[in-house]
Amino acid sequence: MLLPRLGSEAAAHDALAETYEKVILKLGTFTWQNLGVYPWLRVIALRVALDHLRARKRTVVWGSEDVEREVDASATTTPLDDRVSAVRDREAVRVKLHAALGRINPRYAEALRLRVLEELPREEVAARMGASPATFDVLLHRATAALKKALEAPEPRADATIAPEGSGSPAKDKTHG
Amino acid sequence: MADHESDLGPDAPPTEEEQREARALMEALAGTSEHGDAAFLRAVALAEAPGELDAAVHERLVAQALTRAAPPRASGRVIRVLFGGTSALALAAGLIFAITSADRGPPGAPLAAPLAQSRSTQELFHEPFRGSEASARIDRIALARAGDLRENRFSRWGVR
Repeated sequence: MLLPRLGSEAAAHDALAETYEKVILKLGTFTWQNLGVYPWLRVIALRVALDHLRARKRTVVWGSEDVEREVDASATTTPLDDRVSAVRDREAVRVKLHAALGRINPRYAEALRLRVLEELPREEVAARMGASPATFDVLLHRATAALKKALEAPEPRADATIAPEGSGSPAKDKTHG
Repeated sequence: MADHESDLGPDAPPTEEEQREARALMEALAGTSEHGDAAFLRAVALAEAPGELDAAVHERLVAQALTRAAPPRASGRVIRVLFGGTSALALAAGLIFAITSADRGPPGAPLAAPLAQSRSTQELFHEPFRGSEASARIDRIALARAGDLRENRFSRWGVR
């Protein structure tokens, strides 16, 4: 849960050690509710993650405002929510990432998918995209900026009309990134 | 990077600054230098596929947390920590319960009955666990150790 939210192994390790430290100190407040320890550990870990994210510039997919929302939501969860929270936690960051990829120029999204998510070599991705490696570098650089912007922008409401991907002229790209 | 750069279409001609930044990002992704966008892209990769935490690293983090949260006291009781088993998280949960159950309560409080001692979780398991059953394993340890904690408190309060 911490690794995708904090976006770095070192930060996630620090946060996990801090979470365990808090767990040990707060154990006396734990009440067994037949749901396992995960929901309780989860809220402690989320609060630790929130502190870490607030302390640094955004370089992650899941921002401090996302964790704040998760912490707030944990105050009103039902037992059913708690039972599925581990699954939701695993998927939440990935879902947000893919939603953001869906909102940027399809060529940018393709560059990020191949080079970053599938970890294909630079030269291979450049060839697949019909670009020289140097041109692909610029494409990836722009794609990164576009993805950051899409992640930081508020997500469109489910009932909002979304323009089809890749339908934009260069002028339209200015609004979609 | 200037804000307007992300607004450019993929085929717009790059500026010199963009080319410099793009080269710097490429080098950072290759591991030869540092770049803020490379850290972001690594975070993107982790969001897609976070991977598993190495058991040895997890064990070290648990030990670190235990040291920080419960430093040894001159008059305190020595807690023996038993390392073993395949699930690092189960280890963490087991240790957490064992240590707090022995280390809480006012110093010098009368003991109405012997306290539960820290011990291996082996007695709780009579069948091999598969990797996918980590939660069930943790739950079983948590349930048993929560019972120990409750009993120990009753003992310290003299209500047993």
